[in-house]
Amino acid sequence: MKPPRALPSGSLLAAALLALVASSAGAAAEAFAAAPDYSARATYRWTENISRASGPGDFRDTGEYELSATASFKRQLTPRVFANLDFTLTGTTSPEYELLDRIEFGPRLTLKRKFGLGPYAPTLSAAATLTGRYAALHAQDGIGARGSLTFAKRFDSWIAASVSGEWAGHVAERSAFSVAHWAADASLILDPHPRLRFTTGVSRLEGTLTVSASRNRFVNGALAGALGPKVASYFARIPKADTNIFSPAWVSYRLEGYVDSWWFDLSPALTEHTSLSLRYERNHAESIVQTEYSQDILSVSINHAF
Amino acid sequence: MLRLRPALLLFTLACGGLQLFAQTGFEALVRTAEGKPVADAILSLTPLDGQALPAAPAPTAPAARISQIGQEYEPLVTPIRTGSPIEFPNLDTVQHHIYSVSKPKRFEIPLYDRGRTEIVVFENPGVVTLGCNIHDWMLAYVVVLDTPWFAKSSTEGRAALANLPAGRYRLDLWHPRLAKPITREITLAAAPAAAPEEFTVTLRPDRRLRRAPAPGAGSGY
Ligand SMILES: [Cu+2]
Repeated sequence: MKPPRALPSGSLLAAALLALVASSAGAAAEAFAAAPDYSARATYRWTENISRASGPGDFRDTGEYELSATASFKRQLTPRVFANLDFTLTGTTSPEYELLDRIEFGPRLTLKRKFGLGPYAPTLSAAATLTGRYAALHAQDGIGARGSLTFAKRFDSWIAASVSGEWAGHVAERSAFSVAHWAADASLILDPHPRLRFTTGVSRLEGTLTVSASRNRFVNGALAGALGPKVASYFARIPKADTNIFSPAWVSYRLEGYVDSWWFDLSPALTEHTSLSLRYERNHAESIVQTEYSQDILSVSINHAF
Repeated sequence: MLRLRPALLLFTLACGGLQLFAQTGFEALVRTAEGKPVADAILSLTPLDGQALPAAPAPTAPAARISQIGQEYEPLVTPIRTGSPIEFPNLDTVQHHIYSVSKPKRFEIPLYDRGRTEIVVFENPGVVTLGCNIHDWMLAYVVVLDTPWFAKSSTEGRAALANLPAGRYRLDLWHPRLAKPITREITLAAAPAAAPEEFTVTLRPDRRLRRAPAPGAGSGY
């Protein structure tokens, strides 16, 4: 897949997006003719191999703190069609690697068609998201767009399932961070008790992704032919950037490949408005030149709807 | 003596009438096997001796109100007499979409904006389950009854009926989490019983849908 062309200034685009969001928020409030619902989420996430490195010597593990706030305008357009316009602001910080710090913001419009009445009626949702990113590592500043189609069905009070497909792209200041992918996922929701939710899912993503390696391993290893001539010639022509993201002399580069993910989430409801979420995610990625890496991600979140 | 006879006759008739139309009462105490009081149970008594039920008053005003407030229905259970109207004010700042797919009354009111109040008449007896097509966790029950003698149990599990004629009745006890309503025949004496009649019930687990926020997305590629 051909990734989007890098634009000269991701931060300029991000600023323009912020202005667009600010002006459209007022218009949306008027159009939706109601006060928004607010929600917030605080997350601590521990990622093993956050560097997305193939060689064990370059594995970096770290924790990140994330705060996210959403204003959500909801409107029933016809008896069976619902619209949701969300504005989300997310801030992420990593005490260990400050170049991972970032702020993301933007609107998301969801149109949901319900085929019938009640919780068991199947639904088809189309969502479009625009996200501006402003990061400590300016190379990844820019705008992302995401479009998805989700089909969901609840079978009983204790079981529901959904499948979805999406396209997502991000245009960054440096092309090593401009990525695009297609993804498909399936998830199963189990509610053994009204206060306990267990969710599990699998997904496959195909497209471009940004990974990283220490400069020594990348230049003197892969580029020099340590992983074979095919990898060396592929690595020579892919977009890359010196980012020093995990330590001095560190390279980020963009690969074509796929990522298979499997995850589960245990979410007890603390109150009608607050829930906890304990999540484990396993990612395995492989590039078109057969380099691969894996990640384990553990996170705990508290979600609150005001 | 002759002059006294009409007065005596009147007195006798009055006493007989009192005997015939003696007003009594009935109280139920509903609890679980563990002794926890059960609220929202509907007790109803239907006469079995063929006497005509008192006519329902013409529905000039709503017999009950079920509010949409805080994205819930309030109250959870509402008993009414057949043919009665219920008003449904939307006291929230958000839209709702009331619906019922229950046989005694199928209806839906979509695009139900804040500040609106709709009135719905329930013409047929039975239990009507109400949902909201926007907020899946919202739930309410309307119990539509032919008899005028019904009561809802309080948080102490007590449901009391007063001013009903002595005689034979079919007693029905319904609760949203009762697997099968309790039905039995009872005879009410002219003098109400000193103690409430106790009902021990087994409630099914609460299968209401979760309202708490869903977990967020993953790490995001
Ligand atoms: Cu609602």
